[in-house]
Amino acid sequence: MRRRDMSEIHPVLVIGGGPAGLKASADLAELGYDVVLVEKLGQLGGAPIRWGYKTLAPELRPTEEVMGPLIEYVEGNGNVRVMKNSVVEGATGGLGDFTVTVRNLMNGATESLKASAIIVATGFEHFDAKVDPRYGYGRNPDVIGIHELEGMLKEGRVVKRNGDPPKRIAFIFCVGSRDKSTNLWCCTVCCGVSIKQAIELKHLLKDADIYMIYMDIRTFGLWEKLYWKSMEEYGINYIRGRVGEIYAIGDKLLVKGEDTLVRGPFEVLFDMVVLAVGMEPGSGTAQVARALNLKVNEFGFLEPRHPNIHHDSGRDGIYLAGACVAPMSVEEALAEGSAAAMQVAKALRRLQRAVVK
Amino acid sequence: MYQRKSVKIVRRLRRLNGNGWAYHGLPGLQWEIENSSSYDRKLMSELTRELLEDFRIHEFYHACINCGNCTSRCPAFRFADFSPRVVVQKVMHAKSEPDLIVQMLDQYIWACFQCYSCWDVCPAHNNPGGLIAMMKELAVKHGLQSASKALEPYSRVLFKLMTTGTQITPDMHSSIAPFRDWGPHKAELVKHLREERAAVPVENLAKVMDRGWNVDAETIRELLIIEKEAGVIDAVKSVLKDVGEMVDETRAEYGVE
Amino acid sequence: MSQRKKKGEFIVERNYVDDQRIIEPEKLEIGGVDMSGRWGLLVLPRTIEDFDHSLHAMVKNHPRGRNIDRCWQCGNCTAACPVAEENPLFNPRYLIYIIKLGYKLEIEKFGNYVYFCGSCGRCSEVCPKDVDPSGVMEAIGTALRRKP
Repeated sequence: MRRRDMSEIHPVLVIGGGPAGLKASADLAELGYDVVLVEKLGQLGGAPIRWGYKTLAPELRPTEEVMGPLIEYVEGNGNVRVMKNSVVEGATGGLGDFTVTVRNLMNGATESLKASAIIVATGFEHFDAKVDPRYGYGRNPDVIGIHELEGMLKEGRVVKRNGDPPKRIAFIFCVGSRDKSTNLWCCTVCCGVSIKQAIELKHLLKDADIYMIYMDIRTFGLWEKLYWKSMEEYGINYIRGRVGEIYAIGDKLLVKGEDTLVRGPFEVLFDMVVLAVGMEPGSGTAQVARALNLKVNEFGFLEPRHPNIHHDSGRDGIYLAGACVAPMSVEEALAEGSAAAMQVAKALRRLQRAVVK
Repeated sequence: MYQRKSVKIVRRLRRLNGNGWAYHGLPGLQWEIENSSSYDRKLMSELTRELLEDFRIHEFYHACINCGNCTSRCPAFRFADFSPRVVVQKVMHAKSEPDLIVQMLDQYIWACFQCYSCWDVCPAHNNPGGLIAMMKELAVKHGLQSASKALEPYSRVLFKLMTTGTQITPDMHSSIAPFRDWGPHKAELVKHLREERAAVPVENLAKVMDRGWNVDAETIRELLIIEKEAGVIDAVKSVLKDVGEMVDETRAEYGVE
Repeated sequence: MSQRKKKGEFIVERNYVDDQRIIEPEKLEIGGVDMSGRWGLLVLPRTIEDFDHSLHAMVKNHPRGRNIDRCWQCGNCTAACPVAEENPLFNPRYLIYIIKLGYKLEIEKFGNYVYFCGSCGRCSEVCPKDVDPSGVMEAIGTALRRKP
């Protein structure tokens, strides 16, 4: 009769190398557990790194300050085995004894692994604005999404397709959010992110006029100060209304819509239109849900056992974290990664304490 | 009390600002306020009750967050201070403010020409165009002035539709009695219409003019029975007396009781 | 007044169309077809085509109007305003909005209502963002007077 020691515990499988997955991996590694981190793409960091987020709301601190140390720690830690370009194809067994099949997308090789617990952190995808044809995204070159603008801001060069700096820029809020025809939910962050970008644009292009066309401003919690600052210090204009159509006229864009406060139609020429695209569950989330037999809610997000307790997937030994459960900001995803790591550590400690015959 | 006060102010303001701008949008409502005092309270409550009891309302109205998607696409909004968003908002508050609904029936909703782009873009899948259609039906049913005024130019179309089941045939562009809204230049079209249409190598085009008028007698009878039973003829009579009477004559000819 | 009423009187929703935007030619002939009066009627669109920030800049430079940019259109000022209660056409929130975005047509329509303000200061008391609407009204009034 003895107790298990640490080495007899199989590694923990973390699916997804974004903020939540990285944070969970780093925390578990620091607690002494072995971790296998499976990432679909060729680089770690998830959406913030993939789309090149320049800074994070609300304090406009560089993304690297948050993501850099995490990626460095995970890649340099002996306890974490990082499998890039890989997806999980299936898992059998239960808490403490999962057998997982991981396939490498580059060479097609599959590998069978043992795992004690699984954390799912497959994140989100930005809404594809081509789905909503009224904005002409994909047809008009100067209609871009906030994720693309973020990359431009990172390069420090925001220009139209023809190379000129834009003079008059419109942000359109709630694209692919809060709409029964596309996505029903509020993505929670794109108001704050758009305002953050508008402030950065004002730093970059001093004489640009920026107009935010919104239906509600939902800068939750402390993000509210972004909203205040943008009006008071940066003179960013807010139009309460909705856009119906965007046409390209020459190298300008005619934005047509209603100002609901004036009850007047506007048809104004803009140089550039930025769509605040929402979040939706990506193909990765759907694939993992099938592979691990997880419950998916009517929106395509992973459904926890209790809606208010995100980490509990409803299957023993499988935990959820981050934007695969609901839309959330980076800080929330980090906290959820930590929370899931804590749940795994708790469960594994219980296993260790159990007496082995 | 509030209304009476406002009427006085509005009259005074009109003196002050007789510059021809329509102030019926935001924030003024003085035209509506002026009108509401002269409304028949019984009719008001009846119209509102009928609108809210219509079974279609549950399909056409779910919830409105005032986002403005519907109006951003509305063609009428470009020219008149008309907004489907406001229609939905007023239907939403119909119970507490029945007079707003009735005032809309008088002029407001007739700016809409039922293109239903609002329905297409509504994030809550409301159907403002459908709500307006329901209200227009009410206006016709109760024989409101606005309905007569709006439908009068279409008397001929209405008569043809009610008695043959088809709407317009090309030879209704006549030089003698053109549709008022189509303008006088339409008469030019009629001169060589038959030859021109026959020249188009699509078989049906030339025949439309004959087939549009030659409807099977049994079909017409059936149509008239439906119209009689559904009360359409009476409704039209209350709005456009002459059209209703002409349809009634046709009904008698076809022996529909 | 009576003459204006006649213009486009057959339009059912006539009260919702500005007189200025109705063009009804008394005598018009196009290609030998008589298009006078009703047949030649045109209603011009009422779209906002540009933002004109010149008034906004003047208001911002006024010592009492410098906080106009803080306004987020909550409507507390109009709710507290005793003049707005009497006369719905005077709406401080709305005036701030149209000046801020420079909607020329709306300023032409509603600009003069700014002088209805009694400067009682109740709006400034309730404003959550310290815009000082009564001061802004004064600044708008000054700007409108000085406007070239």
